[in-house]
Amino acid sequence: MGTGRCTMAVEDGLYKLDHQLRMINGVADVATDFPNPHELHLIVALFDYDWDVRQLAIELVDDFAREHVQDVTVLVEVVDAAGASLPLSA
Amino acid sequence: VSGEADHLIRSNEAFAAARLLRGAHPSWAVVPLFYSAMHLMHARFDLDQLSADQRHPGQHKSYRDPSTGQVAKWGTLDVVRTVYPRHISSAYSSLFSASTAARYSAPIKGDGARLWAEHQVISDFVVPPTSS
Repeated sequence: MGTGRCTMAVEDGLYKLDHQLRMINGVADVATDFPNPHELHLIVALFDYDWDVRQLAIELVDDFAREHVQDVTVLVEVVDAAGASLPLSA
Repeated sequence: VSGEADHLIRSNEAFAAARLLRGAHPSWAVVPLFYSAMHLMHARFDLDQLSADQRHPGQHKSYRDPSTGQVAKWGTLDVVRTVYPRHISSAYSSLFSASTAARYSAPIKGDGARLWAEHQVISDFVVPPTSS
């Protein structure tokens, strides 16, 4: 995991985004990583792969990215929790 | 690649490659499908005469000044997010995400029909269908 520190505005927005993502029925876990303070990697794991859930997650993340585009570049990946080999942190 | 017409040619080439892959390798087909969308958006950047620093991004994600966080070199993802409507931005992000997943981690499930629909959203935005 990265060691970068993001701005307070991004941190606050990310806290809300994490909550919104976890409230989606079908989202199993959300992992975030800052390789540097201005780059955010988000991995959203679904219990079972569902296109509607994936679309909801992508839209939420993209809204966040648009809001904070001056501060951070956001990359998102949506994976199937059952088959995900990537480590996920709470 | 420079110029709207050149980008549209490259987009069509990538789209043709995606169609070739779609039946046997639907997950890998998403990779050229995404690049087709990328060239479509770059064509749109030219059409809209975006500023020189935004018009021809050489990378997907922006390079930023580490001390200020300001964009030093724009990436296509952020240009799309900054300049274009939400439905275009989310479709583009979705295709980028699926392309990355296909290459490095978890391939998409199923036939990826929704990604092809998202490409169509971008295609219609850049090259509006004729009404005749």
